[in-house]
Amino acid sequence: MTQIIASHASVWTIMLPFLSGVLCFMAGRRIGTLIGVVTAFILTILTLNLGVSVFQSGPSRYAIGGWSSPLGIDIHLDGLSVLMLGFTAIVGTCISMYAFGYFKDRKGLKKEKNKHYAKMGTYFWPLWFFAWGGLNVLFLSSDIFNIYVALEIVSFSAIALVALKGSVDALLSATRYFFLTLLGSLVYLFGVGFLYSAYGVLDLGLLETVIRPGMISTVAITLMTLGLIIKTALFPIHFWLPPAHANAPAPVSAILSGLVVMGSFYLLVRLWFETFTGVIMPVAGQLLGVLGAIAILGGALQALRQSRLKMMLAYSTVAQIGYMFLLFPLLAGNSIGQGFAWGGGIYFSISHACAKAAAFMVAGSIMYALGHDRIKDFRGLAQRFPIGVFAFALAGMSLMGLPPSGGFIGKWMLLKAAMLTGQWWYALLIVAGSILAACYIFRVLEITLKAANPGEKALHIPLRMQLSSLAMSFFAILLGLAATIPLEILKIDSPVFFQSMEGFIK
Amino acid sequence: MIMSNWLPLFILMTSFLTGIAIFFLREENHSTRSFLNIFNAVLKIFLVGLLMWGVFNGHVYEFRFPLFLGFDIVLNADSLSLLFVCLSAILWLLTTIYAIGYLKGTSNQSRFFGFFSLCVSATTGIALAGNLFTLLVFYEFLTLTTYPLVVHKGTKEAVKAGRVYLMYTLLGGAVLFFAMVWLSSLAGPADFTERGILSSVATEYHPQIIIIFFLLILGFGVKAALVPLHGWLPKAMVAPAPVSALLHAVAVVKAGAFGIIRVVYDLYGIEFCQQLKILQGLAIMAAITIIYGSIRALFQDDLKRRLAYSTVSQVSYIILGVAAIGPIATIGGIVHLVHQGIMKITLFFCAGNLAEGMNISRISEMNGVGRHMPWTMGAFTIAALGMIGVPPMAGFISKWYLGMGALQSSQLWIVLVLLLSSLLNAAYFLPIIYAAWFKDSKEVSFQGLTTKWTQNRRYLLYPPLVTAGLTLLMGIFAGLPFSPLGWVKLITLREYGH
Repeated sequence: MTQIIASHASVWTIMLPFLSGVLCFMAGRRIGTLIGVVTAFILTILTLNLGVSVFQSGPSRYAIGGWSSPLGIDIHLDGLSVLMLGFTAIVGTCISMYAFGYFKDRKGLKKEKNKHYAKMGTYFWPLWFFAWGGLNVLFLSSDIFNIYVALEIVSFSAIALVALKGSVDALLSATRYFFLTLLGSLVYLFGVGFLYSAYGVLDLGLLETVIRPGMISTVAITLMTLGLIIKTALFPIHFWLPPAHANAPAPVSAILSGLVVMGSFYLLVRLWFETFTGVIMPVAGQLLGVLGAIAILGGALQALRQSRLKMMLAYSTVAQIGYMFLLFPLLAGNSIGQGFAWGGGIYFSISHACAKAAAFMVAGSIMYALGHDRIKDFRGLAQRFPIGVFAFALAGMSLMGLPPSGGFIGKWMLLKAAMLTGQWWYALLIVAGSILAACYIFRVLEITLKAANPGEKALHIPLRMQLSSLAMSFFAILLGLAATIPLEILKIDSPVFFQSMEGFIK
Repeated sequence: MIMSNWLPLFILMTSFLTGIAIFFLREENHSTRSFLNIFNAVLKIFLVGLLMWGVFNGHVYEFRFPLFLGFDIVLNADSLSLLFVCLSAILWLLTTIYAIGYLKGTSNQSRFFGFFSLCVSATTGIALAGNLFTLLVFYEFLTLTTYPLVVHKGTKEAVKAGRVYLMYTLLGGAVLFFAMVWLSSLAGPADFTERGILSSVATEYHPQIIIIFFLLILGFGVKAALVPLHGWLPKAMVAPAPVSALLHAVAVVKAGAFGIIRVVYDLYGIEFCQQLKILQGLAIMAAITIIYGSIRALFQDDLKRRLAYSTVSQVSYIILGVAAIGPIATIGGIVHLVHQGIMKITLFFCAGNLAEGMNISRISEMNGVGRHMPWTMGAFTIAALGMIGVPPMAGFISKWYLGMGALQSSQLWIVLVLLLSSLLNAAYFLPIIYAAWFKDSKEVSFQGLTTKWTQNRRYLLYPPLVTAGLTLLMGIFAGLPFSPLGWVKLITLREYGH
């Protein structure tokens, strides 16, 4: 019975966002907003339901329309996909609540400006639900071509979302984003083509059983990895990310940095460690690790140099993506500490989603109130917007990896994996990156704590926006307190062995 | 039985929830805030008393909350943690009373008291932590909650000091994080146990274990202000007086010292430390810190800075006692955790009073202040004499045990360090006492005490008087079973296992 409910629920998690997207578009801004918020909550309940059923009855497969693979497309539900779905829903709901306030008419603003926001609001909701739907397809589908389609849906909605503002900056960054992400998709598609021509199957599970080491497999994997790296913005192809994320409206920045990045990262992990396990060479993992390492240091150093908060957060995303990629060298070719590397990398990506979404929301609130996000003019913010600054501090804790927060748990696990596998340089790197993160986070907090400049004008931030950013940052902290639940879910049908947690010597 | 396991958590929550609740209070809502603060502080003392009674009767309290992959948050009450919890609970109450008076009429009070309570709960967490992981969690939490207090004034100087403070403590935290994960990859998640648990690690890993030891000391040493990691402490003096008082007496420096005590006794175990021969290095570090801090204190004219350097020096007595092998030195070191806290908080209260009452912050301005503020200076004198180690004050007890311990383990150089340091203590405290009581203030004519002082006199005066009284009582009644000394003897008995 639960199986049936689960399968229906999983189809609905895909159908509902697309349906609502269309409805939002037809209904216009006011009703569209309502539809959007309601849909977000329904989606959360649906994924919660899915999570419970997977927890109780294990992983499942569901053939859409009764056509199973290789003819049809399968939906594949396991711990990892449920976890991703769940956190997309949680982050998505908070972002939706935030956007609810963000695109409303602002008191104290000129009429034309408000019109501008209203227009953005009209297009935001359909695009956002298309992106959400695309992500859900990505997490559930077990067909590499179908996944390509999902990637495209996500990318195109994301590009349009970046361009939403219509300013020159926004259009330029959207165009750049467009070219790069298109390139990424094409390269990925090439890889898919190679695989299909060699093995004649597209289903991930089937592919896993037939794939053999060889020239074609290597080329295909390289191409697909390259495509996904471009989309995830790993160094050195990260340059498109900061302007795109920083110039978008705040809810969009939160979606991009929090969720879209997590989507393509998820796919890469899924491919490498489930489908291609037998074919991957450890040295490739090391290569990704080196790129990740450069991203951690370079991204953080760039973040330190930024004068605008959103730009700083975007570079911080570059650095945090680097952390996620440490999963590859720590996991590839080792049996000891696998659980820690796998759990650490995934955990890091979900806590980054929560923390970064929260941080971008606060940045948006500050821009809302002050009309700018120049860090040096943040004096006295702690006194004027205590909730926002508090939320930023909590999110910052997770980004720095201070306990108790999701980022801390993720870093602890990665660090432990680095030590268990004897890769000391990564261990040192993880700690060094945390210190750099602390530098750029506290650089902002410090200024907010300074005594205020008298007589500065600011708009009142709607409580809804403030509370949704606070809720988001609470999730980032909660991940550090209730880590057993996500980790237990992650263990379901996990490709790696979660060994006992005792030290391996004693 | 189940209830009793929750008791440590309740004690933690008394201050944590108070902090959270205060954040939501309106700025003008002074009476509610003060009521919440004092009510919960008293409640906490009561609960700690309950806990103490239970532990004395052999109950075991352990609150365990699984966090991830075998790492648990463990709060438990052993005799050592009780000592620290008790100190922090009592001083929280006193400092809160003091702070209410001190901050009257200033802005951002809700933020201040909120973080103040959180800071105390972090200290409580450190005290009750049942394993290294939990200790780290609260140790970092302490860093985060004290930072807003250090920069509370929001001036350029305060922000700068805050930056230095963060730089030191976050780097220390990072080292600690690294060392702890390393240790856990060797020995698993290690719970603290009396007499240590690491002796079971195979011999070929001993070099790694030794490196980890020094990394841990480095990490804790930042907060304990071991030279050369002490740079943040004198700078952090820009914080309001109650913050400095708490920072120096229980919160930050003590957290570092307490961490070192835990590592030596309950993680490595004193016998295993001896076997690895790692304590000698620690003792030398502590000795250098003691002498260096005292010498620097000698040359400060700013009263609070002199007290800060004195803290640098005095906290290392604790570490010296730990590092000088032998039960008697251990008693001296651990009991100084309490004694130094009580004495130093008195001194900082008094320094704050001088600044509030007469706008005096330099020692050169202190001529004849004893006449105008006799009670304050009386408390100051008692605490300062205690710091020097004059009987029957509490400081004498610590130094006596330290010296006897050094003699027992025939480490004469430690005795020399103690003597030299006591001389230096006298050299920087006695002139203040002399000037305050016996010198005449020639250059400045006395303008009268500030109105702020006369209005808030009760809040500002009672706390230092109480702590000065405790300084005397703890020295005089050191022989009773429930005195700090008596309790520390119990701890030492358990750590040495005979």
